[in-house]
Amino acid sequence: MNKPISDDPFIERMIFESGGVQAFATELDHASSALPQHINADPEGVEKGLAKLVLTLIELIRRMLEHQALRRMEGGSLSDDEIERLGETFMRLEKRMEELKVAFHLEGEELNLNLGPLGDLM
Amino acid sequence: MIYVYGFTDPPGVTDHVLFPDAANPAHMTGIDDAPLAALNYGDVSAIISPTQSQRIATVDKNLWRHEEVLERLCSDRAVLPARFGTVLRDEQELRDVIAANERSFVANLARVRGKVELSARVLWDEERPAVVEQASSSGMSGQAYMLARLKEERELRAWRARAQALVDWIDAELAPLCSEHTQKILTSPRMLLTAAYLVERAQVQRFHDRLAVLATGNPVMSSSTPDATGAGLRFMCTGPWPPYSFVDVNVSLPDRPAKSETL
Repeated sequence: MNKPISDDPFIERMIFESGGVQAFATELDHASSALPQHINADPEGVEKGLAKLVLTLIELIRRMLEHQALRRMEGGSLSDDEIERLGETFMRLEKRMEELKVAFHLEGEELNLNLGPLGDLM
Repeated sequence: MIYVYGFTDPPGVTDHVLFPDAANPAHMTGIDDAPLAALNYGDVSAIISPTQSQRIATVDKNLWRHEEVLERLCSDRAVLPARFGTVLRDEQELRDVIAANERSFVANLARVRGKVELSARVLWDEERPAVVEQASSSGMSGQAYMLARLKEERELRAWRARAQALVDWIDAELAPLCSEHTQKILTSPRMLLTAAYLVERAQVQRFHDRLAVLATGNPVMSSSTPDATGAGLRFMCTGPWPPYSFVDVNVSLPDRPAKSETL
């Protein structure tokens, strides 16, 4: 005979919990809201989605370059002059990214891609 | 069309609970209350029910029925759960799928026999180090910006290292109780660990007891955290589940595009 489905069968299968289930529920809600529920296919949505993808890739490259620069800075292979110039370049790039995000109505949005089992891109 | 719940050992002794039987009208039913059936091929049995639709709605009612059928099967035999929503054209197609995968099905049934999956999530309280403020607003020099970035990078590294140390500590306690496990670290800044453990059914209680000890404190953080109760870690463990995280059943045929990786 089928077991009746209880109000919350998941809670029924909880075998250990410390610190409150609510904290986990909040965190999981937060995590799942980062995933798109469906792909928006209206023309404006597609354009925004594409802009987001392109900006995400640019942001990824910017961060990779920045990482590389930080590594070299730590390794002591950059002169003060080079550090100054790199810093200015990265600052300008970051500022430009913010402007592009505003232009595509992506302000305040985290540019990131969820790669499923691989985790986040950034 | 037929809906596939999973692949199991050949029928067990309690099948009258699952399948229609004149003597036991109170048998279990599948999705949409369709009658369950077993299709046997070689050393593998597929648990199925008829369906009218190729697409099964992803709603709680269906998900839990899929789960309950698998849990019932898990109670007395090894089970390789099929992905929710697996629908095949007819019995011939199902036989072809089993024939094409029989060796891996049998090997994986042996791997999970007598074991269940326990899922654990651990939250921690350590804030992710703050990101350097927007450079655009301040008149920062390039060098100051790079130094701030370097500081941030080092703080992030230290933060990740603390997370890793805690996960290693949890791992050292739990890994001996399971035959295999999966883990993801920091899927979000608060979610320290998302893990699944393949545990002998008889070890579930010990696993629970070990978790209870872990939740009372840990050596890594106890020195730096004044909060003695749990030292900033929160644990949640659910199960026993069918071994979802440890098998990936391939229901594609060689002449058709693969739907998933082979086992």
